[in-house]
Amino acid sequence: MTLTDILLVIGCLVSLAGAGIVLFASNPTRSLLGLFLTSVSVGVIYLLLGGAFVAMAQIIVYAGAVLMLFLFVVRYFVKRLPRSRIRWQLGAGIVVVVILFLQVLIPLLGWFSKGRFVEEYIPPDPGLLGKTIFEQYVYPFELVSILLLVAIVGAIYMARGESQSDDGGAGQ
Amino acid sequence: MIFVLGITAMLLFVFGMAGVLLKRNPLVMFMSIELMLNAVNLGLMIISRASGHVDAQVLTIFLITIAAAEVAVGLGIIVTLFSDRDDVDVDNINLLKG
Repeated sequence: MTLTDILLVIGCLVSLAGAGIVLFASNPTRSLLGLFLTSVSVGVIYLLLGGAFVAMAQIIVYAGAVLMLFLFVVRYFVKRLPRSRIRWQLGAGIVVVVILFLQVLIPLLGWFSKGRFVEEYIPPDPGLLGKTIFEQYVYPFELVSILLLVAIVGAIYMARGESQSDDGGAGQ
Repeated sequence: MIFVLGITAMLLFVFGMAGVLLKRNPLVMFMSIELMLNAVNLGLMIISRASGHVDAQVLTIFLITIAAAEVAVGLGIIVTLFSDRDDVDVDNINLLKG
């Protein structure tokens, strides 16, 4: 077991602990901190798997931008958020989750136990990643940019819905 | 090693699914959706490492972008939903009418 393997196992355990905090914490802020733990440790796993650029994107976008947005919203509504206690759906939910777990596990078990990592693996540098994006995946890249544009328009529309009704449609 | 990582990705996905099914707070349900997206990204990175190709990493970057867009729109919807009602239990949000 090399040092990389040990660090990978530690990253897996920490990310699972964060997921457990998300699931079992009754305070939404604690759930958020658990999600932060998971995001950062998954970023560390990416780094160890040889995806430096993806790891940086994960840390910056997830742990930076997305979780900050979550933090603002959670703290904004913190007085009115209910303690999200688990009700009668617990039994049905656990059954569904276990069935889903087995459904995914059984087909993949063979690949999990037989699959091997590439032996002489050269971690791709960001240049190769960019080359692949802009040579083979240009159309998906453009589609994603259009999707981001649509998301911006939608977010702005929802944010200004209140003032539009205030001025009696004069803003149209 | 691929076994440990694969089981981790699956468990992350299952934890996220359990959060969506069991929690009644829309914000925590949304966090659980993010957890599931993280699990899928982790699976893609394992595939990238196992195959030695960079294509799965490209897909991971696209997924991170899509997750950011989804968070922007989803949090906007949740804020709009919360802003004019007192309770925020998803069991009571059963009308599309605002």
